[in-house]
Amino acid sequence: MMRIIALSILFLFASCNKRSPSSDLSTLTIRGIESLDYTSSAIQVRSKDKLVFENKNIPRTQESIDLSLMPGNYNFRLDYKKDTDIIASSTFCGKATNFELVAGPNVVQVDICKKDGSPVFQPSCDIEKESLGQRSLRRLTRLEIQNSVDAILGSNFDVMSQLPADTKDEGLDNSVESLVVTTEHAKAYLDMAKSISEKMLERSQSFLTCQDGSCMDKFLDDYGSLIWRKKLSSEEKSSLLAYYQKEAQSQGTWQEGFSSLVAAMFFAPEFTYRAEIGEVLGGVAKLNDDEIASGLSFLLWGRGPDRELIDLASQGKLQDEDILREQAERLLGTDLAKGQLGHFVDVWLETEKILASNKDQSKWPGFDETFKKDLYNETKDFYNHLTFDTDANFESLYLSDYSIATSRVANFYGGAMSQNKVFYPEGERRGILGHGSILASHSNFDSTNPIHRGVFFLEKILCDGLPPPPDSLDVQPPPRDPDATSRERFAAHTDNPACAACHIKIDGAGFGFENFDSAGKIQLIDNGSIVDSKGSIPLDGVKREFDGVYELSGIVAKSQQARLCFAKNVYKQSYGVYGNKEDQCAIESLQSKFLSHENLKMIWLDLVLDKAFRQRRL
Amino acid sequence: MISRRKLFQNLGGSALLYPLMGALNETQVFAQGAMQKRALFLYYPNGNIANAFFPNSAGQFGSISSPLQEFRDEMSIIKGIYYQTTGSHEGGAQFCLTGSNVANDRYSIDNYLGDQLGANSLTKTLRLGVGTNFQNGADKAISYLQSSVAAVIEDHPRKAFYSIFGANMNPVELEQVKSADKSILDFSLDRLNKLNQSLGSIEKEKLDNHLTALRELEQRIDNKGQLTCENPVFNSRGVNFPENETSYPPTHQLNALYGRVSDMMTDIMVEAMHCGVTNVGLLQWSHAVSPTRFDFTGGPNISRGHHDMSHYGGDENGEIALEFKQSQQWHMNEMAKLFTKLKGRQVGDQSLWNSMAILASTEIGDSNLHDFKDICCFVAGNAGGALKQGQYFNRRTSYNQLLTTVVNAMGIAKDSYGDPSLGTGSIRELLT
Repeated sequence: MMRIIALSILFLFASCNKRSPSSDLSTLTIRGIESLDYTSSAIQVRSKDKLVFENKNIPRTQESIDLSLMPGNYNFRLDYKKDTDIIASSTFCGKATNFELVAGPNVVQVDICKKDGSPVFQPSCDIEKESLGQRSLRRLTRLEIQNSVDAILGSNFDVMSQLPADTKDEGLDNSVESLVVTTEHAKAYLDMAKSISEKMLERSQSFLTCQDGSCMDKFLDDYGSLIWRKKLSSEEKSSLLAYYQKEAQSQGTWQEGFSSLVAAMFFAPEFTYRAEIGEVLGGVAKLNDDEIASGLSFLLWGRGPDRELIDLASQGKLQDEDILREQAERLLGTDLAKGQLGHFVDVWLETEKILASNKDQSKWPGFDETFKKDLYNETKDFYNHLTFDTDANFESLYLSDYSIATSRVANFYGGAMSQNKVFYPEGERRGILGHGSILASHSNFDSTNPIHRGVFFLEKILCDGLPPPPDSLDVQPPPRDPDATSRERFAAHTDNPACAACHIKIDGAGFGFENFDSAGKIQLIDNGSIVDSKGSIPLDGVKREFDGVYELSGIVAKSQQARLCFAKNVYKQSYGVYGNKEDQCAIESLQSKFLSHENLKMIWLDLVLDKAFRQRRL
Repeated sequence: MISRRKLFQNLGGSALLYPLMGALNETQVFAQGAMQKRALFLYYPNGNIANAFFPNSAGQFGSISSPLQEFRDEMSIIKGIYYQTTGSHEGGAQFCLTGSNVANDRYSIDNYLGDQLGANSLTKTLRLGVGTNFQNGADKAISYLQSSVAAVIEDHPRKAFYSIFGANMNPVELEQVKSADKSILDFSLDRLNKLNQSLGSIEKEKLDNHLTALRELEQRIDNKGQLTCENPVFNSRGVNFPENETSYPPTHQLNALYGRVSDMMTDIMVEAMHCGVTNVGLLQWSHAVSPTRFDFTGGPNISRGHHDMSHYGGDENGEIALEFKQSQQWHMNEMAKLFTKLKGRQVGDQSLWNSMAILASTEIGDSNLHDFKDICCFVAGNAGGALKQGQYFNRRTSYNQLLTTVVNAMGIAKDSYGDPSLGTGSIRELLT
């Protein structure tokens, strides 16, 4: 059996901030492990069995230790204690830990493992230096525009249906790279800006303190700041006022001037984009307060900042970590955050697919539009329930014995309803992998599709990407044998060596879902034969066997890889990035934090309080 | 030489009464006074079954292509056209109008020709879709701008109609609206330039795209009101499209209305071509891996999803293959209806149909195998006499040559289209 061991790495970095150390010495810096829940660590360095350095009690709070040694061969031992118990150590990995140190800075990696020999996750990079994202200009998504307009107008006013759809790009609806303004966007934005301006003019008494055009200055303070998401500078104000004067004059009335002013503000790049550019200070770009206010608000509310955030930004207070935390907690404490996190889980798990999936009505007569919406909402509601109502940890996502759904869903699952909770039948399903939105979305009209289920599981739950299918494969897929089970039909093409490389993996995961039919009901018999739902997946570098979705949920709930994948998805969607190499370090930083607490709500605070939230690389 | 725009200005209001004779950019100068050529690209999803598409040796069209039989002498089909690309539905979708599989070098032929031929038209390229944005992904886009950015496809019929034909306005009102719009535009341009200065080199491409968009929008505003026909009336075929709709899927993307939306979009495309709104159109039915169920009004009453049935399982005479054939036949029938409508229109004393070059295509070859062989595509119309019609033969041919042929038929001398390493030159049998 092939076993891939994920390297657990401790980076020992050259200490760069020391002033010209003796060039004859070897220097290194030892850092703590963020992802591990320990209280103190200990280090021993030996040279030919002679102890040359020892520190038996390094408190977790101490971020790093600098060492200077004569060049030569050394043996390192690192222990991590929770109180007095050693919970992880370099000795648990069963590998030699000798390293040759050279004069000057050294980079050395020491594997750390837990008692059971499983590796401890450590970032592969220097988080202090490399974990910053790119400076960018983010075009608002259609949904963000809608939410922002609603907040400014104080009521729901549809603009979304007038705007071009934001096509999903690598699963993201907010990809910073693909959201651009084309002519069609510009045209739709112009129409939208004009329709909003008409609406505001219609309700001018709500927005203006006068009805003669003499209070545009006040309007800009009160509402202009909401539209452009900042306290307006004097340059901005004077240019807007001049615009108003000109238009009021040329079009003849103050009303037309006001309407044109509003339209111009909504059509301007200050509304269309949010910038994350910052100011260059000390080798990085530090975002300004306005950028941070928008960053926070779009992250947790999916819309522009409210007056409280704009005020704090104008006072320069959002650079203060305590205030930032307080604001993040305030935002997370509202229903708007539920809307936004519901959107997160929708995008992550592609639950929207259920709304377009279609099932054979002769087999599943109740599978109609209403029921599909129930399944769609179930996953969002369940996720929000875990995050906000129960302060749950990661494993609840996969182990929960109940969901939040309607009585129609309860009947479908054969579960028991208690208020809005649906308790699953014992031992059949648990957590999100048992949701109809997942089981039915990745199936066909009248039969399961182990391939789609397998690919979904590997990509979305384990972040185990697959290469694209080979070019124009000249392979005849198996004909539909009316007497075969789904598994038998699909297994046939794993026999073909051209397909096998990927399909052993895909099918290994997908076949494990076979005990749920195409619509997501438990099935014991498929086409007259007893269902075989045995599967195997590569998980945490080891091949794991399981039988059915219930067991699969159990092993996913314990998996480090699934935790890392969840945190990666949080990062990708928060920043609208693909999660490629350039973001790897920032992702690992978030993953380390998440592994140390596993709390579904706290990960959003981790994001906000990470310096990557306030800084960008140059 | 007097510019086209100048000419209009000199003629004043009366210019509105004359047909738009076409763009006067460099490649088109010679066309002045001659018939304005138009190009139309048609896309249908999920490949096909070759044996039911290509005509047999007796010239009889297959069951899928049978609705097109009546246009036999006005179109051409070559069996053996290959996409020289990689990767399933997505690779094919990205390739089928671009002839390129290089991500940052995709400029699809609809937009290329629109940019070449559309300097004075209201819309350079009119892109209409039927359920195109429903359950789609960026990797399945077929239409790309010069910047390689995917182009927006409008799939809301009422929005499409009114954004082209607008509300009826008298010339005074129209001028007021134009001038007010341009103020908003100018202000934005000013802010964009300020932003540009403060950003330096960061996100340059994004700002360039935005600037291009504003310039084109300005041009559209300038060209507003220049129709060569009576303002057409929107026929919603009894469908009520709510004004402010927040439900999902929205009315225009409802599966049950796929057929009716298709009819509406076909109408709008015909009107737009006829009224000189645009010289180049794209009509896209759904998208790669289409989820459409063919149990909509006017459809063949099949409730299995389109992609689901496209994997008919190898037996091309089986039950599921039969369903798939019916669904693709439905797409061909929509095209036939479109052709009939185009043939009924005259521009001046010329037939609109005769001014056109039409290319219909899909993103893969065999729907079950996901290959890029024997693409079930065809050309129709004669592009003002440039395209030879009624050509039917078998020959292994690069699809890039077919794209080049269409570009040449539009009067643009070009040796290749898309990636030249995948094939150069035109298909000589198709050009007069």
